[in-house]
Amino acid sequence: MSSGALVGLALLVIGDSHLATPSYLIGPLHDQLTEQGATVHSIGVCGANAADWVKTSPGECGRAERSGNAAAQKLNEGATTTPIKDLITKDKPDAVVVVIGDTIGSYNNPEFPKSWAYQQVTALTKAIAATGTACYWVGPGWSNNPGRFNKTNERVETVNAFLAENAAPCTYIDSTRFSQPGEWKTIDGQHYTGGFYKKWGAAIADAIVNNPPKKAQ
Amino acid sequence: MKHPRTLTLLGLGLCLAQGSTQAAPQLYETGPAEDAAFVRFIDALPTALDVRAGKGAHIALTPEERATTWQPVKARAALGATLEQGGRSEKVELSVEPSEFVNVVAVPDGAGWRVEIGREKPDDFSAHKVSLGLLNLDTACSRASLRVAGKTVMIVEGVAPRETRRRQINPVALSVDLLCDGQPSGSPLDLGSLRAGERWTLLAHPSPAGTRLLPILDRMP
Repeated sequence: MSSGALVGLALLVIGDSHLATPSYLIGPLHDQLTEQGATVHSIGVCGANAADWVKTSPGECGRAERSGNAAAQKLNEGATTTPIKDLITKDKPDAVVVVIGDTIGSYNNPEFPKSWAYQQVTALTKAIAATGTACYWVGPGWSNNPGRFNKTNERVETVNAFLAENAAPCTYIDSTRFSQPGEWKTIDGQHYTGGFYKKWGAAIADAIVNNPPKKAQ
Repeated sequence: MKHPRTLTLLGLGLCLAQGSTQAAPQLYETGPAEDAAFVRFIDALPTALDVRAGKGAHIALTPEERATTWQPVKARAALGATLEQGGRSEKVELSVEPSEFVNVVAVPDGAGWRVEIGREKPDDFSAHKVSLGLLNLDTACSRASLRVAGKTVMIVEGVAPRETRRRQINPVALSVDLLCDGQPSGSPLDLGSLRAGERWTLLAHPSPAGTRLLPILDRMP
């Protein structure tokens, strides 16, 4: 149920493959934030790492974008990120919501590449912080099986612990708190089936509603 | 600031195009096959230092701008650079392991200077704490330590030459004393008000007056 907690606020949501297909998170998260009163602009670029949002970078497998109440537009060829600085300059959001975790999880690497992840995460948090815009960072949720991406729940815990320690000044949202391991079904070990994207979107929106950004001056 | 451009950047984010029978995104990399590797150059001399790398890339370090940012490099690749100061040059050849951060530092050596290499594999990344490291580049200081200035509170202790030891501390105003083999060396170093997320490397380097500290604030690219 909407409390209107986000009325008058503009939110910019960026992320990876979870936002790059209209039926994925870009659907329910955008809807939930909108229902709470926010004006929302969401962009997902499949395969994009955090630092890819600092400068224009090619997407690996498509892009989707959604503004306000319009439907999401999917771009399969020639997808690129848009630099976060340019997006913030244009949208003037009260907060940025970053949904990036699986593209820094390095699930096929036996060791979590901490130095690389540090470079990735700080590149984006510093770019956002330089604009003075508030931000939230949403980490990866559980998998129900490693699947073709080899996403194990042990690595999910590692990535969440790393992001919780390094996403500041963004407020960190740990998605593993929203469900039990394996509870949310996926189609490939990483991307949820539709109903669970709805649960994930609602849980993220609740987290933001419970700790809303201040209206930018 | 210009940076050496010939150091090979890590290839990131390659996509493996693969078909799918389900409505799922095509397979893509979720990170690199191995961790990143970094190198930087530091001028611990009283005068400017020129650093040349590869095909014409050049940077001038000065007492006002003593260090480059951390440069991502291809792990295990043969890297070369030339450091020039006072009409004298030194060639440096090195490789960097995954997860490794390598400092290439020009330090005073009697009336001249020499190149020292300091390596570390940090894992204390945090946006909530300050990381304070001590890199001992003075072979005359067999055990370097840092303590809170004027107090008995030790921060890091017993760092051997060419080794680094670091510790997470709270973001507070801090001055430190350098100790060599338990004896104070030089005046207290005022680091000012440290901010959460900062990573500092304090270089203990030789000087005509004894071992001295040079503070370097880490900067990622």
